[in-house]
Amino acid sequence: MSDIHSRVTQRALTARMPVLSGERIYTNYSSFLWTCTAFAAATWAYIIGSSLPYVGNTKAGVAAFFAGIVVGMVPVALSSGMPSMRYGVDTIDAAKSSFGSRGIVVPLIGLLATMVGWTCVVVALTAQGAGNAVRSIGNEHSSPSGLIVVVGVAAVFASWLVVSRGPWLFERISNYVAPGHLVVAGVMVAVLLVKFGASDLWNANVPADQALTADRAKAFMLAFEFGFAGAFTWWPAMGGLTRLVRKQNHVVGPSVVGCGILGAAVLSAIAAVAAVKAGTYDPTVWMVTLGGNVLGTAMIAFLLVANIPTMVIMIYLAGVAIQQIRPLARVPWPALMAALLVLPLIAGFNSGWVLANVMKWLTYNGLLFAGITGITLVDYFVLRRQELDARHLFVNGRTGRYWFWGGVNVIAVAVSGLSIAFFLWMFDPISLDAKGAFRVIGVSIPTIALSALVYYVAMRLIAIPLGKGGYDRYARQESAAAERQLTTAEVPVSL
Amino acid sequence: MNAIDSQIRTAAPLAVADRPGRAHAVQVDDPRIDAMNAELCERLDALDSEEYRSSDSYRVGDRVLVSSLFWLGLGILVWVLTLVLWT
Repeated sequence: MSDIHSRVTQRALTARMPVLSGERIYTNYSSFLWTCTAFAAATWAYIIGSSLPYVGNTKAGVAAFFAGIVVGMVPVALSSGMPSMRYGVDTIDAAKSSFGSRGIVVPLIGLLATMVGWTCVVVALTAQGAGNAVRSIGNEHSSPSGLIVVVGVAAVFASWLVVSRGPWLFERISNYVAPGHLVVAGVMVAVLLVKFGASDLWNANVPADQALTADRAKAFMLAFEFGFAGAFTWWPAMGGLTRLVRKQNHVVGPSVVGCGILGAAVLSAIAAVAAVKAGTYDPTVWMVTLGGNVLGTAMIAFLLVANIPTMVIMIYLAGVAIQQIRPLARVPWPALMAALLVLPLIAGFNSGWVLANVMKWLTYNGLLFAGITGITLVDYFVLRRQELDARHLFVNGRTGRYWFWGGVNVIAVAVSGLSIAFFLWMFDPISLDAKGAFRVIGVSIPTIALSALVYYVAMRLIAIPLGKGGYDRYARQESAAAERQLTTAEVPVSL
Repeated sequence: MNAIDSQIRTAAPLAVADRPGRAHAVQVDDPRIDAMNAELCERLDALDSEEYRSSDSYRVGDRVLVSSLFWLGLGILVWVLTLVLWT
């Protein structure tokens, strides 16, 4: 009996079925915190950190990045995390209430591109990192290409082994990997302090002519946006994880602290200083340069192995979401995971190309979630007052509450498109060209605010009066008002 | 293995019924899909139950608002202080 129960639970955790309260694996604050930390704390955190000194002042860059990611994680955790947590459903299922039963193809494409794309990048970083480490230790001119491929393929295979077992295993692994990251960070701080002293580290900056801009206000907002835009990347991931969280009070704090502070801001701050002192952005190089062959190799080994939980979580989330595509829902979970890992496997063979090309594309991909964050935030908290009809999230027909127009909420889709256009009009993330207002408010906050406002107004003026989207609260208000009017009209007659 | 296909197939006709999602209203030939429908319906019923509605998973967390405001406030404070001190 218990075996049957565990199989049912396992199926719920690896499919789109609502996960009930008793089945959820994150039962306390720390367990979700460690998964968030392990998820965020991959090699990318070090690489993002190494770019912060180039705003012109390392301390200001680190502080602005911290502010950006903390401010950004709150709306992301609320808009993506809360509805999924309350109803135990995946992000994409929850987003049907705002995008429609078929309109969710927009966030679904974004989610799959983000999760699989970033997995490719992490595989490439792991493979190249191993090659760089061997080159640094052996003082060789080039990285051994055979080793790079072997490490990339091994990382993909290890990820498949873990993710095939469902989310249980990565929850356990995260409880060790996340504290391990903090230990490595502490060791790095100690190494830096011993080698350079606190005063030298405090004033570690790149030469002024290497700064991205001489305009301090713009430089500050660039670092702020590195953080805020980084928070958007968590939108497709957050709901898939919070459906496994038992208590609402354990959603926002662990998300901000784990994904934003411990997994990103702290590691990025250390990386920023270390990159300036070692003269390279690559953590697999500066760890050896600063820590020596033995300590540096040990830290790199941990860092590369710790990339695996990140890949596992991303592929798990992609695996749950991709089951929206009907034929793929019939594929057994291990085979589905293997299919999703095909592109990362190819990335393992072409890691140099992936790092040169995929990351640029992912910079633009993240923009999609600025508008989606604003839309889902206002839809769930303002228009629906946190009430969804879970049954209708699984209804795919015109009788469903979330059918809108042919299954698509054209308002949400249009606002998503407009938000991308607005973002790119204000700021080009590749060339860093920006409109004047960017110096004051950046680009992410106005994009979220504008998306939320336009969506709210359009829904109140168009969709809700037409009875689209199952916004019962407003229908009830109208009928209550009509009833009151009727009663008022009847009173004089009765008197 | 996965129940999505059954969820989607059953959900569409069920939406016409008084209680969308009810297994007894579904007409499918595959017993495996029928079992999965029943499982989905049980879960949806459980989400509607008093027990779930009074659980910490459903009830609005008393610390959600405070926690959100705290982190937003901290981020904005660091933002303003850094701007004032550096620019």
